[in-house]
Amino acid sequence: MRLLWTLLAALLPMVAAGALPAAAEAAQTAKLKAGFSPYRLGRSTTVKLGLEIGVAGASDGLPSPVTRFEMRIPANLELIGSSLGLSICHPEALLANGPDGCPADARLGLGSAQIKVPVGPEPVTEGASIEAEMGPPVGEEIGVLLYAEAGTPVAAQLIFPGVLFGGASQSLSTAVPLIPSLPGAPYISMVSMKLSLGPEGLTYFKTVHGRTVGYHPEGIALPAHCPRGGFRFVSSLQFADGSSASAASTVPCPSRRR
Amino acid sequence: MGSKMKGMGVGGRGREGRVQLRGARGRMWLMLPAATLGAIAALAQSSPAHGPSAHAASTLAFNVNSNLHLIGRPGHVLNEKGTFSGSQSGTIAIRFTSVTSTSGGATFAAYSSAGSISGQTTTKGHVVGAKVYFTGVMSVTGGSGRYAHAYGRNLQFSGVVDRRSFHATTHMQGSIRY
Repeated sequence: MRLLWTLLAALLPMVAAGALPAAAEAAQTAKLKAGFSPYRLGRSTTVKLGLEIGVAGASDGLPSPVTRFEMRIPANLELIGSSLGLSICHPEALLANGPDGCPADARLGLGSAQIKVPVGPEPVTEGASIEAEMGPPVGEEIGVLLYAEAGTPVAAQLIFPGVLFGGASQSLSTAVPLIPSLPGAPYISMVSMKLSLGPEGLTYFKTVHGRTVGYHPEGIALPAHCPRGGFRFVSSLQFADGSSASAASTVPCPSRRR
Repeated sequence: MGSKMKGMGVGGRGREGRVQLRGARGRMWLMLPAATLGAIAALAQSSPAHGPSAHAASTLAFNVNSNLHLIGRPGHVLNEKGTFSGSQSGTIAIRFTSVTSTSGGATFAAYSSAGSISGQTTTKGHVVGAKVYFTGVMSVTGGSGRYAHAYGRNLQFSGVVDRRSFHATTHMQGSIRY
């Protein structure tokens, strides 16, 4: 882990020197939306998560940077019954070559993020792509690497190492490093993130009779019976200004067909 | 061993006899002659002597490895079937009802030429890439044939599920009384 952070620090093109954004004093808000695609009980699915971060009372406010992110996932969604993340992606390879440096079947999901870069009087909005990769195990838990890549005005490749804790309180937890925008300027802030965990958009490869063929992996298994009240996801965020916010989203049980 | 099975069978009838006796006793006081009642009472007293508790249970050293393949689709439940070998051999079916990184469970039934044993396990596992390693504690709760009254607790259960193929290997070890 120390090596990872050393590498991260080396890759960051700019030196962190900024003060917290002006909006850091304001309370952050979070909004979560969760869904399944396809949504059929007893079958595999792709879990779709959408997170929006804002400032209370200011629709275009600049939230404080996120420093820790935790997503509590319903316990009855199981990665182990899936064929997602069959290989392990090592952070050094991911940093050196991006997602191409990792086996295709280490990929767990894809996503995107909107970040705000506080340069000039108005923050600039920038897009970043996200990939979730199966990382080396962390103790007895599943290691997950979230890889984010942004272009302009701030070019950065970052890895957020996370842990997928299993059991009744299943959760994905990750620390988010503070990302400087420009020397002397505040850190950039994430305002939204979309992440799909599952086979949608993923192609794995296997050898069949000496030929390499692509296939879609089995996704996260939905239980045959919907839990009472639906599938509840809860995200908890910690911000650089010391505040925190949480948001919940419930995927309702499918309506019964007659 | 045949005599043991016969002994268990008698015990079973003895249990049934006691239940019938209790259920019928009230009516019999009114309906049946005293001699019949006396005979039934004598049977009731003698029945426990033929019950399983009076039978000296045998102990089976159970130390087997199994190779299994997935039946059906992978998902929330993994149904695996295959063969086992070691101290005994035969076929085995394991149903992993929950396989999480911190807890899980499975039920199993192992069939040999002498009979079958069945039971359940609680497991704890962890994922390393395609492999799910699990260890746990197994209980034998019953069986058939020679092992009709098999029971056992705290047997060791461990194994690996390969998520590429959902082939599984398991190891079971411990003592079973029957």
